[in-house]
Amino acid sequence: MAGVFAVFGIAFAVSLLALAEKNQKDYEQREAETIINGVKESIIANMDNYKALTRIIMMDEDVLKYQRYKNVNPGMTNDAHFGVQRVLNVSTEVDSVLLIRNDGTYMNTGHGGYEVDINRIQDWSWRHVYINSMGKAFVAMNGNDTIKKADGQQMATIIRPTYDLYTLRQTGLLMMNISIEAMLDRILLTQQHDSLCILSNEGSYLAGNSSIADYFGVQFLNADIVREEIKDKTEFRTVSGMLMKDMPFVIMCGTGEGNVSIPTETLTIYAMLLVAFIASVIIASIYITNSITRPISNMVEAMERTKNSGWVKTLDAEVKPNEIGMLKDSFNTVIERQNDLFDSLMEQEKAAQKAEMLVLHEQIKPHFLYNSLETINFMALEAGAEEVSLAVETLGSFYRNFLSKGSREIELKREISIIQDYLKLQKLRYGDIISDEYNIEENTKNFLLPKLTLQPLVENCIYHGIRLKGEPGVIRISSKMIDDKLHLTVYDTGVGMSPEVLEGLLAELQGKKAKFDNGLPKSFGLRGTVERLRYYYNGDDLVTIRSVEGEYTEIELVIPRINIEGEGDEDVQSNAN
Amino acid sequence: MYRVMLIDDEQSARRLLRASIDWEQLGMEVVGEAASGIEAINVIDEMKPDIAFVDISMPFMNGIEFTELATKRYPNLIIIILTAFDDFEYARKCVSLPVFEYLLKPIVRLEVKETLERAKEKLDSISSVSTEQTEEIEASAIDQIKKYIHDNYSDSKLNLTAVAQEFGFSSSYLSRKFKSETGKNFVEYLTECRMERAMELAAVNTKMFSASSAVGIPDPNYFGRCFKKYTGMSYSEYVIQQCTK
Repeated sequence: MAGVFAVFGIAFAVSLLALAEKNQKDYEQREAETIINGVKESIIANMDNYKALTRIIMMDEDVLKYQRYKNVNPGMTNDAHFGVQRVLNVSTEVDSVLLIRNDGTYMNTGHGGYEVDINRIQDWSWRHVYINSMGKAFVAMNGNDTIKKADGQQMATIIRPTYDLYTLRQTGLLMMNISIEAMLDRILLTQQHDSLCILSNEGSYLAGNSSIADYFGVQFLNADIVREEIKDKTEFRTVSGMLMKDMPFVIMCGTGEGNVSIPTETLTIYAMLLVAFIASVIIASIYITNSITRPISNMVEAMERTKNSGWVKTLDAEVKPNEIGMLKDSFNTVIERQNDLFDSLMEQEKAAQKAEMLVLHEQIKPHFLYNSLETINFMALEAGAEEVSLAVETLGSFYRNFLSKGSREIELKREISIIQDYLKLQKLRYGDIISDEYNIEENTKNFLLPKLTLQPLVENCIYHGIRLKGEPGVIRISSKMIDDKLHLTVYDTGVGMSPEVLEGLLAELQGKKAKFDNGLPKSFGLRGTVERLRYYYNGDDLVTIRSVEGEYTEIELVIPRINIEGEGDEDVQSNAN
Repeated sequence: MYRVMLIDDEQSARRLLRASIDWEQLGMEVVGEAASGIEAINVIDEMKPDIAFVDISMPFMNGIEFTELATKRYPNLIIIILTAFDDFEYARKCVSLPVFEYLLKPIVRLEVKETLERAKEKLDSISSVSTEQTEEIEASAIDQIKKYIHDNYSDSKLNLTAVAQEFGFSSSYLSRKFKSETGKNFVEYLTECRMERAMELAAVNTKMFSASSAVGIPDPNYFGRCFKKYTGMSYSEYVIQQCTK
């Protein structure tokens, strides 16, 4: 769990840092763009002012006269000079104004050394842009390379054509030179930014932080803001820049020196988010452990117990009455329903069995059988058929014991009398080929054993033993007590069994062999007896078989004492029903 | 000679028992049979058995009820219950009764013989000296007894011994005295009372089974025999005769 938290925390911190850095960059970027746009707007506003000034100058009466008349005299030049000066009184950054007549005559209000390339101005390839501009004012550096100031000071020039106010005839050009460095310094001063720099479109430095000017490249000659990642010695920095539309200025702004930083509140909020996130994860995991994982593992344990107990029981695990509790409840409902179904199935099965038993008993109708036998017995006596009478009496006695529904267990002496009656009747059928002997010890006579334990074995003696041999045989039944257990032996001098057959039989009795591999096996009687004894006594080692092929077979059963009270009560109960 | 009585509603069972045992060899004789408990109650005083074989499942009065009654009235009577396994529930009730032995049907003569030999030993050991009644019975007492019979003949359990015990006499003495006083023996008198009443009932076309239980012989077979013996004709004949008059 702790490892999961650590991974969570590290991942969160890394992403927080990355996010913070990205944010920082974005922030700086936005800052830079804002500044650049601010500078741009200021420049445009200033230039617009100067353009307006040129318009006013152009409409001055003396200026108009200077430009209109065919011939110029010094008086007119002087008047024009004054006319310009009147307008320029309101501005300080205007260096000079040039009025250029179409005939190439010009006047300059500036003092000091100017170098005016009048030939170039008069050259159509240069001037046609301005003449055909329908009165538009242009901004260019140093009169679009026609004017140089002797001290090398850079100037921005507004160039526009002049028109006669009355005839609307184009009369010449007006060029207003502005001390651009002074103007830009003033503008930059308002921005309070260290890494701001303005260059001309040819890359010459005009104002601001000159170190930024080193990063100038043609990529910044773009009307949109261009961002450039630049490796500067050890650290990376970003430089943004743009070329102003219709103006010869490139504004550049550097970022990444930490001078503009993201507000600490943002980081604090991120950190708090991290803490809140981790805390909520911990709380959620505790909640999940308490209310989901533990109840579920409790339930699984309870199910495991139920499984091991071998009986489908309802879960006893303690669960809060939430969804898990509902799950447990519905599971228990299912189990209860299932148990109810089991019970009702069992009940139905029992009822069906009972009904079947009743029907069987009805069919057998012992009373009818017994009365009929007694009637036949009497008739035989009347007719003097003593043997018939005895046979019928034996049959009656046999069925009396055989059908007895009094008890599942009977005393050994009664089991023996069943055998005696049975053998008596069999002897009537098969004659003297069978003789029977009994070695019943006195202390075993009242021993209780499951009814009809011996009869199937004796039947086997006849049908699988003596009858197959074809010569008279003996069946001997012995009983004795050893260690408070009844040892019953059924011995016959029949055909016996080969060791292989004996082995197969034993394997079958142990349940190691398929029970009905060839239909009903020969040993069905024996197996039925052994299985019943196992059911009664929950034990093995109940049966031993000794045999010599052609000589004898001896089956010995070891029967423990039954708990008589319990069994007896149960029998009384079942009979009372 | 010990006297044996067979009480069983199955004729074949009675006949088999009578035929399959060599009674004389055991020093016994079968003195009578009864086909129901009701009949047995009525004839037992005449037969005076020492041993009674009693079947359990009999109509009107089963072997258990009979045994309960008989062991009270005849304390020396040896009762041997004969039962099929169907009657196991009855047999359980018998456990509380002083029954000499339970034998299972169908009978096995060896078992019966062994049981009878033991019964004989027991009878031999009981002092045969019966205490003779010394007290004189007043003639008035006989009148009282006659009245008692009249009032109680509808009780199917009424017989000589019952009356003798009620009045504190020995039954043999009462029997003799009753005969000498009235000229009839007790059973004849009781039967007379019952049959007279039965004839009255027959005259108003009462069904036989109703009449038989009304006069204290709820076994219609035995009642029929008594009626025919008394009137010379069967109940149904008598009813026809009376109602066509």
